[in-house]
Amino acid sequence: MRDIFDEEDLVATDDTTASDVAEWDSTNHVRLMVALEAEFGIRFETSEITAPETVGELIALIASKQDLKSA
Amino acid sequence: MIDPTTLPQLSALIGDIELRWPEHKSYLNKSFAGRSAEVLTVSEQLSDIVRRLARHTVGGIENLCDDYRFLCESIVLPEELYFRRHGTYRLTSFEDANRECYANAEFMNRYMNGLLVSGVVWDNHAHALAYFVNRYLPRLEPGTNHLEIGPGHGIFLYFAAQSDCIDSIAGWDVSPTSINNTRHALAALGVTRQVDLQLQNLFEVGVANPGGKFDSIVMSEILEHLEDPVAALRAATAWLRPGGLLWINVPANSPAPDHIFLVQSLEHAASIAQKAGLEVVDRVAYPMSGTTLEKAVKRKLAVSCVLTARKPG
Repeated sequence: MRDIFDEEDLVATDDTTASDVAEWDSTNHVRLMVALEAEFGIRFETSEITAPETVGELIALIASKQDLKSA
Repeated sequence: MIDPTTLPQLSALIGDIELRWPEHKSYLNKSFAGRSAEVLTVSEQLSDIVRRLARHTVGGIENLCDDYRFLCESIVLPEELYFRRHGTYRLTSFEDANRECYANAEFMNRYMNGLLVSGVVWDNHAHALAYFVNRYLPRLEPGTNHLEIGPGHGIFLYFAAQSDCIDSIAGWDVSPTSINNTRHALAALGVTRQVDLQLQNLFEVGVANPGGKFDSIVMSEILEHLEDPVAALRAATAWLRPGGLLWINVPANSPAPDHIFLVQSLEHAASIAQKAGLEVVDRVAYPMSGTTLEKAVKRKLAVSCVLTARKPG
């Protein structure tokens, strides 16, 4: 997230939302999701791209995709 | 943020959008935060145009705002996802774009409505139009014969029609629907001077009638829709008199379902014009909302590439 949003001091918690991060707009959100796909070897459905509203929800989504992959 | 006493139409349009899409407020704030007074003045004029055209649109301004949201969420976002995953646009042939987009009248109507509003909201679109109004039109000499290829909404033709230096105005398109839309828009906006709108294929007329007759040609957001933009610019150049100007506005790294040619940078755009035999006399890139040009280039984000080119001679 620090790399995507160009914010070296960024500290994200489960409650962090896009409105807490200056450069977290729709395009950078897509960049983040595609970077997460590459990092974790997963693939989001288009409908999942905009679903998470907090970092916590995003982590849960990644975990669910990884569970599906290993099942 | 936007002073309603000095920029009443822009302020009202922002209010209209926020009413229909409250979650878009932070994006709107970012988009207008760094905009200069010179650009805001053109955005105010375009907001007035949008709100006047809305009176002639089914569903009015609410419908236009909903279509703008549709453009952002349902048209651009899936293409952005494909672009980020693959580094290319999803489609590469005109035939595919025609099948998916141009042949679908209902989709195209919503798409075009959304793009009309984006001309105010999206920073790169707003800056490109402001460049045209504030810098390109004033450089034209008295007696100019002006042509726009693919005039779409008619916004650039509308502003050209306000120029005292332009003697004759023409618009060409390959789509009868598009020509009719342009004609209706200009009439709705009260343009009374003659604008010669014709159903013309640039390639066909360019081959049949070599020799320039226009002093100024505009191609705004056209090249990214074509398989061979160099050939299109060569054909357009054939219609310019020696020394005539071709104004090009083409987005780089800007995925959309009907964008089939990927321009990668301002330099790439300039090289396309040079390959077509044009001399680039001015070039500028405007980044998408909420970022700087430096960051946009580094991250391959959308930028509008604006070129003023001259036919040698």
